[in-house]
Amino acid sequence: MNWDGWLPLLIVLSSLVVGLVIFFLPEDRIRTRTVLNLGGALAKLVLVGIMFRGIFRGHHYETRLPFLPGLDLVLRADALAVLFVVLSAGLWLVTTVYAIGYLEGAPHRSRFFGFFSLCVTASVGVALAGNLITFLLFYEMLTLATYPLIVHRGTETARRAGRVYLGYTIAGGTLLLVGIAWLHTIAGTLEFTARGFLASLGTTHHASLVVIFILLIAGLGVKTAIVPLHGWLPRAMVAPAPVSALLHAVAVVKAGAFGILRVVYDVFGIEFCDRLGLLTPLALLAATTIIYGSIRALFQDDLKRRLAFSTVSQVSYIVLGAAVFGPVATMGGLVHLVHQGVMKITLFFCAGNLAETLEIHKISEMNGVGRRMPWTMAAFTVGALGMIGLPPLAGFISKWHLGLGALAAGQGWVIAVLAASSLLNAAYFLPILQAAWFRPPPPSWPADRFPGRRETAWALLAPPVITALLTLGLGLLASVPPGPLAWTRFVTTLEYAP
Amino acid sequence: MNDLVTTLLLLSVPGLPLLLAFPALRARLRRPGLVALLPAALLALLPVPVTASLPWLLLGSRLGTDATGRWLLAAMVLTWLAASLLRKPDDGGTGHDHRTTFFLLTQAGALGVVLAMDPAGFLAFSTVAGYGFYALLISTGGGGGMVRRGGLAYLVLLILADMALFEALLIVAAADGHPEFSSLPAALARSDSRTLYLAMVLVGFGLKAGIWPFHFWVRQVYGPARPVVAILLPGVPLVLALYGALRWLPPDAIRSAGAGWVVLGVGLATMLAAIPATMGKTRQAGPLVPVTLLATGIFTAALGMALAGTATWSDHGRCARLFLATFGPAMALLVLATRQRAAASHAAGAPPAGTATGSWPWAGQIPEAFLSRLREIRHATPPGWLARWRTRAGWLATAVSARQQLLDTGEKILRNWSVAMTLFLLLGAGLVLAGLLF
Repeated sequence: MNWDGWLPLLIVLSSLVVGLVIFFLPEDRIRTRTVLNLGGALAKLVLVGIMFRGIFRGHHYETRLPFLPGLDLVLRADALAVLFVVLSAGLWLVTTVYAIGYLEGAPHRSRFFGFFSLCVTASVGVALAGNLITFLLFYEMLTLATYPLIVHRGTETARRAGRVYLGYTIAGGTLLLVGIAWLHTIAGTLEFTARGFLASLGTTHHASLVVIFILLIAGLGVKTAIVPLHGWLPRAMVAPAPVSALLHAVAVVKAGAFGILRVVYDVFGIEFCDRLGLLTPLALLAATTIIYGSIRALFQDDLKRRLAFSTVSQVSYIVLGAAVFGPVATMGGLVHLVHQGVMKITLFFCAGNLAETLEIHKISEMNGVGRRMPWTMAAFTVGALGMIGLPPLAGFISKWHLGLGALAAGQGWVIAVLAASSLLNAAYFLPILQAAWFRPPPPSWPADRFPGRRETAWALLAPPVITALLTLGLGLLASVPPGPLAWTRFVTTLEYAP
Repeated sequence: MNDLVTTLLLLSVPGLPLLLAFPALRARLRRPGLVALLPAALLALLPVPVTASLPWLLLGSRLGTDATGRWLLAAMVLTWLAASLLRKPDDGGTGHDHRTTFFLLTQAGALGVVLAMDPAGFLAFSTVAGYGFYALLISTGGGGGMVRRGGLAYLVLLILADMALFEALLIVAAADGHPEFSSLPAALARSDSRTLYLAMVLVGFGLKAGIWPFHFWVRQVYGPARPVVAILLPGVPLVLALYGALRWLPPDAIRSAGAGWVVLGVGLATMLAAIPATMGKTRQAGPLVPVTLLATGIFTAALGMALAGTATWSDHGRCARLFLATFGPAMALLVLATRQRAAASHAAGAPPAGTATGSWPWAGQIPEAFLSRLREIRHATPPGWLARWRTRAGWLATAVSARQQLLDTGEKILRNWSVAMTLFLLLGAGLVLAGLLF
């Protein structure tokens, strides 16, 4: 195997090895653990950078290891995989810095960072999986790696949330396994192929393929938090803020959404999905989730729960993009995979800062907090306005392409869904900003870790500011290659090539 | 002029205020608003129109000045100059006054709108200006509850307006990729959804411009507002909305008799709405509210006539552009004069303007008898009218309260019956899926 063959494996191993080493580190080896964490994250980012550059130059990266008769473990860097890998590796580094600051002085840090690294390993594996069986392995690994992070605090609420999460995701995984096994018996292959590998089957297995599609989408829909399979996500908010950030922006929900993209584009092929009549129901499901999630978010006073319902709504934009036939809508959905990640991680970092510095957990406690924590709330403002879809922020670019794609596909109702969702987003985000910036602060905060000195720890402040700037940059400089928008154009060219 | 210099100059017009909006970058400046205005002033003084293509910005943008834009830019410079001079200087260089940040954000957005040569760029800058102005209004507006309520109404209208304009933008983009204002008529000619575009643009800018029946927030905000906000209110959000209508609906290229008559009617209604604004609580703003409503009404009516095809825009369009360029500075002067007079009256021990009858600076020009008659009409409204309106208002309050109760109950049910609701939704989704598939 040459370098091009090793690179995908090295990218996966860069966090796996680090995670395993950290597990065995004594709690008091803080500096070693920090060096390992940051070293692993940086190494992964460098390797991903090399891969990104190589893909531009026409390199083909693939690791193939024998697994079962007729089924290999395949790690392959195609255009879609690179989009998700860059997002995961980039945001992992930022989240690691944040987590180091957040957990300063907390117990069980070796356990936490060990599973944290495994979680990112699984995410990257999901991204680089070259076939459905490899995808399933990493997908299940993700379930198992995130469970200890959700129950990390060890409280009864955390354990209950963990059980709910495990119940949902294992049920989803089972559906996915059944779907994949059935698919293998019909198609004889599980290799992801641009424009899908099922198109050649024609309509000979129409009913079976429809049921398999439903099984796969239901299995993946659990992690994507599609209504009515979303129940675990708001409960999982008991996890520490870096975990919430990871769940919502990089790992779990994104793995589900990415899986749906793989099924639509590289298993069935979008044209074949359209021929089977699967796209409209999927679009309706996504639209229902978008509106339902936004309505539920409106009524939450707990900040993280409001953000969780917002995720339920926002991640379905990606599914909606995949379910509207046409290259522009596809671009909208794909680019939202990146944009939603960056915006949502900003919001969760800020929510973590408020909780960690002032012990503010509820929106009703946020009056005047912009004066005490201006940088945190400025970052939150950018993230929230981006989520609403205001220009020139990242969310606008996603909604623009989704809207344009819907018009091109003759599906005007999608525009109405986008408009309603934007209105609801404004209705649940703007009151937070109003309270934080324009209401008078209370005489004292529930707690203050840094009274009269500084806003909060640098390790907590830098990550949201960086991701807020990214939110602005991804909108303002959307047209600059090789940004996510240009990359999604490249992916779309492959998926819609004649 | 060198392309690079042109590009840098154009970018610095909205860019410098945007940079100075960061507290750390203006820490040593006492009047950052004035410094931020320098590139715009320089550009307004340039004798030739300039443009720069910025394919890397947003979805590919173009900034520049044309005949209308240059005059409006000059007017903006004057308006912002007045507002910057009226503001208290920043305190001792910490630069941590977030009102200054809002002021500079609004300035960046407003100047960017004038330079935008494409609808997407226009929308982006106008969003910055709109939300910045809202923040400025709430944080420096003064007047407590009244301004806050007016600001909230403005925010809601702004959100709805931006959504309408976003839809309009999608319609033209679907027809012509990413059009500039110069290619808008051609793009619209190719579009099947021209009427929808027209409706969305009219609704969008109508909501932003504070025309009837969405003028109430102007009345609420103007009276108790501080001078800075009072100067910026007509000079920024209102003028930019009217300018936007002109840009997005080039009247010499778009004709629609139906829409034209509707716009004309709305314009006339806005002018009529100025009459009650001369009375009641809003009188404390002196002539500002009626003048603003009259002016926006006149402009709207003219736009309606042009759209209806009954006016020759090519002959009279220049008047509209002149109006846009002079409205902001003229209103700034009026604000200053009114405040000056109020301050003088206050110092002399007289009741503040608005509480004394006929104390407006322009009152001498209007027969007192006419004003008294108007007041009489208002106060002696036939009892039947008054009772009917009260009944209607009461019914409205009951309806709003009932709707709120319905929402609250719905939310309680959602909380208590989450499993049942989930199953119900699952059943609904399953039925839809089954119906569509089989």
